[in-house]
Amino acid sequence: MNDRLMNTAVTAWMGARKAGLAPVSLGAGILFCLSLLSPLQAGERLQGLMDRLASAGGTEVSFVEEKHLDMLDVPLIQKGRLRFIPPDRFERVLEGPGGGRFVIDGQRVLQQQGDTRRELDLEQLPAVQAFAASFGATLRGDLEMLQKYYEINFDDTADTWVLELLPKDPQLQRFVTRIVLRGQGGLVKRMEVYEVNGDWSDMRLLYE
Amino acid sequence: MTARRLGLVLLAVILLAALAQLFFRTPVQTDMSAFMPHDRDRLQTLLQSQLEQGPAARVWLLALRGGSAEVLAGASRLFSHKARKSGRFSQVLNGQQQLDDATRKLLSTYRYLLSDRLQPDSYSVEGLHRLFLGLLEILRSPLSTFSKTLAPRDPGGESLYLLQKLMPKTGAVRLEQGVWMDREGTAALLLLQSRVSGTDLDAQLALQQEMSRWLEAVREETGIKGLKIQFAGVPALSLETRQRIRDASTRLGALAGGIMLLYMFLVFRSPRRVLMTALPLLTGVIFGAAVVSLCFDGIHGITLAFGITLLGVAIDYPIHLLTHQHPGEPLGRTMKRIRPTLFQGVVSTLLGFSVMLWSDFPGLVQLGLFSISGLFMAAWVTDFVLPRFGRDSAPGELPLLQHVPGSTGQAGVRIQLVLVVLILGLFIWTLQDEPVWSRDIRSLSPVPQEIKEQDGRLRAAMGAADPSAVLLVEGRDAQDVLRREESLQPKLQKAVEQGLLRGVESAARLLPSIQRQQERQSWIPARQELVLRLEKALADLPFKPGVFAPFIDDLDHSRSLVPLTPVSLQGTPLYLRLQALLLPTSEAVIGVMPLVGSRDLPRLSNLLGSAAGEGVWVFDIPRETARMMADFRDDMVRKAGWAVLAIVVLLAAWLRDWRRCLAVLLPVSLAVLVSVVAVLRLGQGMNLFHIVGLLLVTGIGLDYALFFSRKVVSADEQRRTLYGLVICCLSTVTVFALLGLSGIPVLQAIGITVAVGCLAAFLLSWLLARPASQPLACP
Repeated sequence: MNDRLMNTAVTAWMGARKAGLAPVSLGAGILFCLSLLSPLQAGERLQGLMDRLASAGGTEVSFVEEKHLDMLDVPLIQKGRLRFIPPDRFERVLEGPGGGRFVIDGQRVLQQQGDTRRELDLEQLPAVQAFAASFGATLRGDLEMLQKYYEINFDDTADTWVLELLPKDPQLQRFVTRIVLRGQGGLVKRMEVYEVNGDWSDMRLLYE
Repeated sequence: MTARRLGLVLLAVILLAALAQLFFRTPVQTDMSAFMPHDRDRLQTLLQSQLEQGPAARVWLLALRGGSAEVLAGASRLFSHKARKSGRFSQVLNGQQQLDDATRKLLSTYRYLLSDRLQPDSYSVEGLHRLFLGLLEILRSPLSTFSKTLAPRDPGGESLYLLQKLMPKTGAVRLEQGVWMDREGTAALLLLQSRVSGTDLDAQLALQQEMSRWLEAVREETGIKGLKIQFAGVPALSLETRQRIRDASTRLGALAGGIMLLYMFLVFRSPRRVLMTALPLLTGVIFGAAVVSLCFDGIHGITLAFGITLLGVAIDYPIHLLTHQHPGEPLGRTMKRIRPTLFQGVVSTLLGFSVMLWSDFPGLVQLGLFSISGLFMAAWVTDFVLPRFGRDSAPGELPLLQHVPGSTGQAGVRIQLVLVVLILGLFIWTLQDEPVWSRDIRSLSPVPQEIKEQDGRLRAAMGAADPSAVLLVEGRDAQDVLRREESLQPKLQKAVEQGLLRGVESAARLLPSIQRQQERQSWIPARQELVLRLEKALADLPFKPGVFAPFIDDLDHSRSLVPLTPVSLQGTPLYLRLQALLLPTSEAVIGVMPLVGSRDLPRLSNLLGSAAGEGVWVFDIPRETARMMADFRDDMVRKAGWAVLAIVVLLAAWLRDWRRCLAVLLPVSLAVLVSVVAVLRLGQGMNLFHIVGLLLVTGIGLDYALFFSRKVVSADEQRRTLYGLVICCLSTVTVFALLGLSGIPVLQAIGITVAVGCLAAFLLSWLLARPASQPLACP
C-alpha cells in the first residue's frame, strides 16, 4: 500500500511540477513524506491484524475448496468444515464419501481416508512444517513465526486485508511459489496456494 | 628320609607347576551360562547358544536424561550421529530417518516385489480402480502438494509404505522433536544393536566405555552439564552381573582371608603356627584352581569365590593337628594319633563333594573339582609337610583351652529323644507349610530386582523384543527359512489379534523369499494388457490421459527384475539387520524371530499347532531353563542318595561298631533336616544349589561326629577334641555365613545351607555323638 501511495505522490509531484502548480506540488510533497512514513504504519497495521487474529481465538467454519492439478483434467471441488483450536490444533474434515480427515496437533499430522491412516511428524518434514505455518501462524496471530518462514507482503484497504507469503525455506520453495491469504477484520476468508508446477488451489471460508 | 624328601620335592614341583598354570594360562570367566544347564539335546543346546549371540541379546537400550525435551532431542541426534559414524552398530534407532538415498532407491525400484500389500487382484481393473480412487482422496488433502510428485510413478504409494514398514515398530514411544521420547518427555530413548556378540563381554564393556565418552563429548558440545545416560538391555545386565560376581569374589576373598588370619592369631597366638595353618589352605587353593583351569580352560568367577571359602573347611585339618598336640609331643606322633579319624573325615567330606562331579552343569563340575583337589591337597600337606615343621618346637600354650569344660559324656537319653522328636516334628510341619522346591530361575541372577524392572520398562517403552522369548525356524538354507517364516505369518497375525503378542521381527519381514517375489512378479500383467486395464480403470476418473505412463514403465520393468536376496542387500543397513536374524550353522540356517511383548507362550505354541515341532520352536528361555534345572535337581537328589549310601557303607566298614555308626549318622541326619527347615522358613524354596549345600553339611558334619564319637582315653584329650571342633565349626560357619551375605544367589544358597547345617551338626554331634560316660584316667 505504501508503494501506491509513494507512486501517487511521485506522479502527482511530477505532474504538479510540470503543470507548475505549486500548491499541488506542496501537497504532493507532503504525500511523499507520508509515503516514507507508511512502511512503519504498514508494520503496525500488520501487527494490528495479527493481534486481531489472535484475539479472535478458535474458529469453526465451513469451506469450499477448488483445486487445479496438472494431472487432472477437471478441477477438484470439495466442501467441508474447518476447526481451529488455539494454540496449535487444526482440523479439516471433507464432506462426501471417504470422509477425508486432516488434523494437525502440535507437531503431529494425522491423515485419514476411509480406513487408511497416516501419521507424520512435522519435525521430520520441514517443508510441510513451513507450509502448515502459513495458516497455523496466521490463525494464531503469531507474526514472528510467520516471518520466520515467509517474506510477507501486506496490504489493506478499509476493512479487508491481503497477506502475500513467499516461502523462505528452500525445501518449501521446491513446491510452493506463494500463498495468499485474504480476510476481513479478524477473520481469514480466503487462502490461495500457487505451486511451482503450475497447480493452484483456492479455499474460501464461509462464515454464517 | 630320602623317600620323604623325594615326596616333598614332588610336592614342591606340583605346586610350582600349578602356580605357573594359574598365572599364565587361566582366564577368569564370568559368563552365567556356565551355571545354567545345558540340555543334552543337541538342537536345544545349539539354539540356546545361538540365542545368546542372537539379535535381542545385542541390543542396548539407552535413556538420556537431564534437560528439557528440546535439549534432549538435540543430544539424542548428536549421540546417534556419533554412533552411526563409529560403525560399531548394525542399528542405531532414535526416531530419525534411517535409510540413505541409495537404499531408498533400491527399495523403490523393487517395491512391486517387496510390498506385502499387493494381492493378485491388485492389477485387475477393479484393483486399479480402487488404487486410483485412493490416490484421488490423497490429492484432496492439503498434503497433496507434497505427495503428488511421486504419484505418476507410484500411485499406490508403495515406496512410502515400504519405508514405513521397514522402520521397526516403535511400541509406545512418542516422537517429539523428531526423536523418540518417553511418555513424560523426560528422557530421550535410543536403541542400538551392537555388531559384536552379546556374550563377548569384554567387547561390550569397551563399547559401553566408548558410549560414555560420546556422552562426554555431547555434554561439551551442547553445554548441558547435567546430561545423564542410563544403560539397559541384555549386554548392560550381563556386564552388571559380571561386575557383581567379580566384586563379590574379591570382597569374599579379602574378608575371608582377613577373618581367618585374625581368628588363627586369636587361637594360636603365634605367627609360626598361624603360618602353619595357612600353608595347607594356600596350597589347596592353588592346586584346586590349577586343576580346574587345566580341565576347563579357565576358571569361573563363581568357582573362585566359592573356592576361596573352602578356607573355612580346609582349615579344619591343621587345626585338628595343632589342637591335639600334647605339650612336648612331636607333631608326627600327634598326626599318627588322629590320622584314622582325620582320614575318615576327609574321605567323607570328599565323597560329599564328589556328587557335584557327576552333575551335567559345567559350573557345578568346576566347583566339585576345585573343592576335591583343594581339600585333597590341604589334607596331604597337613599330613605330609606340617609335621616336619613341628618336629622340634614346643607346642606352646593353647590359652583358651583351660576354659573348655571337661567332658561329662553323652547327654541323657531323654534329652536325645526330645531332640529327635522336636527336629522331626519341625521338619514335617515345615514341609507342609512352605513350598519345597524353588521354581524361579530368574532369582539366580545376581542383578537386583529394581535394575531388572527398569530394564523391563525401557524395553516395553521402546517395543524392543524380549530376549527371553523367541521363535526359531530351522531351514536348509536362507530361502527355506524365509519361506517357512512367510508361511507362519497368518498364524502370527492371528496371535497378535488375540493379544498373545504385540509383534514379531523376522528376516521375512525385511526381505521376502525369492519364491514370494517371483509370485508377485507373475501377478503383473504384460504391458499391452496393463495399458488396457489402466484405461478402463481410469475411465470415469478425472485424471489426464498419459499421466501414469511412468507407472506402466515401472511395472513393466518390475516383471523382469532379478529377485533380491540377502546377499544383494550387502552394503545397505538392511543387510546388518538381516544378518542378525538369519544365523547359519554347520548344517542349516536358523531364522530367529524375536517376539515383542509376548504374553502367553503356551497358547502361542498351541496356535502354531502343527507347524510347531517341524523345524519351528517357541522358545521361552526362563521356562525351559527352569524345567531343565528341575530335572537336574531331581537327578542330583538321586545321585546324592547313592553317595549317602556309599558313606554309610564306608562308615560301617571303618567303625565296625553299629552303636558308633548310629552315633555318627544320627546327628548328621538331624542337622540336614534342621538346615532344610531353615532354608524353607526363609521362604526360599530349595533349588539345586541348596542340595549341593546339604551334601557339604553331610560331609562336614560327619567330620565333627567322627571326632566327637572317638573313644578317647583321657579327659584332656576330650577337651582338646572339643576345643578343636569348636574352632573348626566357628571357622566354617563364619566363612559360609560370608557366602550367605555375598549377594550372589548361587553362593547365598550354598552359604546359608552350610552355615546353619554346620552349626546344627556341631551342636547335635556334641549332644548325641559322644560315647557314654567312660572312666576317666587321671589327667
